[in-house]
Order: sequence, then C-alpha cells, then structure tokens
Amino acid sequence: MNEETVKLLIGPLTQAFALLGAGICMGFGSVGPGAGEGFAAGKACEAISRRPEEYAQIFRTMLVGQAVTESTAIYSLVIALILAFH
Amino acid sequence: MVKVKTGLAAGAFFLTEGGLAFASMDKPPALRLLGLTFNHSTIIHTAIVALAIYVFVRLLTRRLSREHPQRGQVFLEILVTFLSDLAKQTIGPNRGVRYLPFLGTLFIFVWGANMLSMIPLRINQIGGEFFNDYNSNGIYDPGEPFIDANGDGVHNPGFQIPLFEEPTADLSFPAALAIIFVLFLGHGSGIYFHGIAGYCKEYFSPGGIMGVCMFPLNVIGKLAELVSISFRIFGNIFGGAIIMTVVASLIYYFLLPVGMFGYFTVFVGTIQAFVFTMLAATYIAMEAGESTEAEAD
Amino acid sequence: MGIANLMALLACGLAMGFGALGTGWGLGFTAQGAIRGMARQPQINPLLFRNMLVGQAITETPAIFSLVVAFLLYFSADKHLEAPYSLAQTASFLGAGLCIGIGSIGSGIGSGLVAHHALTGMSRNPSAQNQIMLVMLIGQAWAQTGGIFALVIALLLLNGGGFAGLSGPNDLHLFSILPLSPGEIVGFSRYLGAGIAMGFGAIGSSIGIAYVGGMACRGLATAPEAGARIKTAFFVGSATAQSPSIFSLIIALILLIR
Repeated sequence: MNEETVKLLIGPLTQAFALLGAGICMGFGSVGPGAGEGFAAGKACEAISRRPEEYAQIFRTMLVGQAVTESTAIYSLVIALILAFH
Repeated sequence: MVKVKTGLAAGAFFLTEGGLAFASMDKPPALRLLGLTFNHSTIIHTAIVALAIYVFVRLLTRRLSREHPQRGQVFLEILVTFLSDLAKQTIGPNRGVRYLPFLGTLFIFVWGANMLSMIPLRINQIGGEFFNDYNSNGIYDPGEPFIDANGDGVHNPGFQIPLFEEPTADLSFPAALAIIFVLFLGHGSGIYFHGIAGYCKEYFSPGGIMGVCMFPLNVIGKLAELVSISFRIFGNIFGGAIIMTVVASLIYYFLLPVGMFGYFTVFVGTIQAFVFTMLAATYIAMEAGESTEAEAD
Repeated sequence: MGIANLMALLACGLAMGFGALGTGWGLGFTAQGAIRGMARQPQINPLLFRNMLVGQAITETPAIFSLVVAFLLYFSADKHLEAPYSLAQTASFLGAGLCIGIGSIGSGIGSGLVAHHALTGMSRNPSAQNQIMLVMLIGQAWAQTGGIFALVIALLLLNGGGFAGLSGPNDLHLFSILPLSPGEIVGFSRYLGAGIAMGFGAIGSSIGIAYVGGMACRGLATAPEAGARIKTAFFVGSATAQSPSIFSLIIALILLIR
C-alpha cells in the first residue's frame, strides 16, 4: 500500500469507523436504560397495588428515577449523534 | 383476452426438481393519479370486504325480536356487548360509549379483511406470462420466463394462487386505518376535549427546560405509534400468508394444511384484529381518556 | 455467486436463529405461567388454557417477522445482484439479518414475560380477569414495538442495499476479490451500524416494558380496586421506557439516510 492510497483512504475510513461506532454506541447504550426504566416502573406498579393510598409519592419517585435512568441513554444518543455527523 | 391479476404480494413459491424456487410477482399495472399510486388489487379487495360485511349484517338483522331472538341476533348482541365493554374499560365509562361505533366498525372491518383469504377460490395460473408481462413500474414488458424449471426455455408448470388476498397484507391498508383512527380520531378528540393549548402541552411533557428538550422526541414518539400499530398487523398477516403459500406449495400433491390454515388465518387473524382495535382504543384513550388522576385522588 | 449473495444466506440463518431464540423462550414462559396457575387453581383450567393460547399467539409475532425477513434474504441470495462483490450490499444483508434477529430476542422474551405474570395473576384472583387480560394484551403489544422498529429498519436495509456504496472513487482495488473503494467502506459501516443500533436497541426497552406490564398484571390481581392508578403508572412508565428504543430508531434512520 503506497502513501497516496493511505492518504485517499484515511478520510473515508475515519468516517466509516465513526458511523459504525455510532451504531454500536446507541445499540448497546439503550439496552441498560430501557430495561432499567422498565424495572423502576414495574416495581412502582407493584408498590401501588400494595399501598394505593401512597400513589402520588410512588408515582413521583418513579418519574424521577426514570428520568435519571434515561440520562445514560441520552449520553449515548449525544455521542452517537456526534459520531454520526463527524 | 382479459387477465385477472391478483394473488399474494410476495409472489409464489414452487417445488421444482432443483429445490424450492421463488417467483417474484410483478405488481399489476397500478393506477397513477395526482402523483399518488393506487394499488387496485387492494382497493378491490377492500371494497369486497365492505360489501360482504354489509350483506352479512343485513342478513343477520333481518328479523329482530325482543322475545324470540334468532341466532344471528344473539351473535351480534354478544359482539356489541364485548366491544362496548372494551370501549368502556379502555377509554372510560362515560366517554367510551361515544367511541363504540368507531371501534366496532374498525374491529369488524379488520377482522373481515383478515378472513378474506378463507374463501377457497383459486385461480389456475399456467405459465410465466402471468408474471412477466408487466414490470414493477407497470410498463408492458414481456421479458424472459421467470423460471425455467425443465431447462427447455419454456414456462414453469402451472400452479394455483388464491383469488382473494387479505388487504391487510398490503401495508397501505393498515396504515390508512391507523391514520384515520389514531391521528384524526385520537388526536382530534384530544384537541376537542383538552383544547389546543392543553393538547400542545402534552408535547412538552415533563415541563420546563427538560420539556423543550424532549419536544422532538415526543413528536417522534407520537409518529412511532402509527408505525408500530400498522406494521404489527401487516407483518403478522403477510408472514402468515408467506408461510401458508410455502407450506401449500410444499405439500401441494398430498393434502391441504387445514390446521396451519386455521391457526395462521383464523386464529392469528382474529387476535391481531382485536389487538389492532384495542391499541387504537388505547391511543385514543391516551389523548382523550377520562382523567384517572381525578378518579384516584 | 458474489460475497453479497453468500452473506444473504448467512444473514438468513442469523435472522431466523436469533429470532426463534427469544420467541421460543417467551412461548415456554407463557406456558409455564399457565401450568403453575392450573396447579394453584384447577377449577379455572379452561380460562387459563384459553388465555395461554391467546398470549402465545401474540408472543409468536417476532418469530413471524424474522421469518418474513429470512425468506426475503434467502431469495435475495438467489438474485443476480448488480454488485455482487459490493461491501455495502454485503453489509446491508448482514445488517438486516442482525437487526431483525437480535431485535426479536427482547420482543419474544418480553411478550412471554407479560403473559406469564398475567396468567399467574389470573390464577391468584380470577375475578379480576377482564382487567388483567386488557393490560396483558396492551403490555404484550407495547413490548413488541421494538421488534416492529427492527422490522422497519430491516426492510429499509433490504430495499436500500441495492443503491449502496456507489459514491466516491471506485478505482482503488486493494484486494483482488473486493473492490474496496471509499464509498464502499462508508456504506459498509453505515448499513452494519444501522442494523446493530436498532437490533440491540430493541432488546432493553422490550424487556423493560414487559416487566412493567407483568408487574401491572400482578398488581391488578392484588388490588383490583386500585386499577385506575396502576394503569396510569403502567401507561406513563412504559411510555418512558420506550424512549431508548426510539433513540435507537433515530440513530438507525440517520445512519441509513445520511
């Protein structure tokens, strides 16, 4: 491989690896938050059935917990967007 | 010579000497109007379903009687009770009844559409001219035979395809229903019940700066509802049709796979029609449902 | 037979193999719920049996999606492709197979999870069966949304793969078998990346929503009188748990269109 070929290929190769990285980043990055948010909401449903009178507090805690859990998915989204438009 | 062109959108499968072969069926010449393409096979089959439902319900409601209900009347009463329970449970005891005519129509129509391929009429297709006279752009193009089973350069052996196909196996049918029922009816009644300001507030759902950030995601989430509801029934019915065609062509000379036919057409078709109706009701309820907060507090 | 045709065959196997993995698990999980319920309350056997069949029919959906894509891939391998040695075409087949195959795992397991908990709940409290059935069907359908996104991306990959990788200079032949041009390289990672993003992205949300649905079903069995509150928590919780898969869909679409 001569030097000219390398110079021609390095740009597309960078872009290619960035795009593949974006896909992997978002794909694996959303496994955890998706399941985690679901576990939070599922336990909230169970808790409401045990103590329906504490509905408001449980619901609020669930929403806050889900928002915090979702932040990791948003990190992945931001990095994936940066990579995709690299 | 009049050619009837219908059949599965996927094409047809054959058992040849070389193994299982597939003939991609070119689409019949589509009608083009104002930049839109109309698939006339789907349109005709949709009209057939509507007509058949009208005739059936007319026949069943001929002699209504309070004292001596006939069998058809009892059947329809069970159906209406079932659907009204569904509407009340999903949308709410007061507003749910208003949506009963819509949801009932939707369920019966989609169910009838899924059952259309139960009609056991088949067309005998001999040779490849059925497939190859028109290419995918609808232009007359008598190309070479699509499969050369015997190696003699002539057409494939004859086969049969169903005369009636489910319109739900074409994506445009469930997509149109989803647009009517989820977008127009659901979001329309959201505006009707909550006002334009209350409706728009939903799109900034957590509120504050976070809500502004989430706005595009909320819009995409609403659009994803349409995609998921229409692709669900399309994939199921289309997949069932492919499975039935493959199995029927594999054991063509022995027997008809009655059990599989019953499962994929009758059972899955009924369940998916019900799921479609129920999801439409749920999406309507999320826009226009009675407030559960007031009930809970 | 180019490398794209060979990859279509491999992807066909991947799609159906992974697609059957989760669905089979879910189907068995549903049956397990029904059988345990029958052992607890033998007098409602017909009810549990009927609902088990309904739950299994819906749980089967991801496998049917995988089958559709697997057949399309199988018959793509037979076609005389325009660019049988195109890297991008190869990646579009592999991406489609991975996308629907891996995307079906979560949907299959998730739908089974909801049905399992719903049947358990019905056997605990048969009087709440109508409410539980409703939440079970909605939960199963929502748990499959990720799988449906995967189907959409896989169909787009199968359709768009034909136009892949024809941009950029095509005269750099580094290997004798592959015409390795810059456009091909970018196309390869574009299509493979889209498939991976949507395929894996569907797993987490599906299982999460399924857990919400399952716990809502159990909650309805415990306290049917708090049904409205539980349903609200279920709707809001699963709508939020859906968003990671929507992020994945966005990234996959950006990778495809860009």
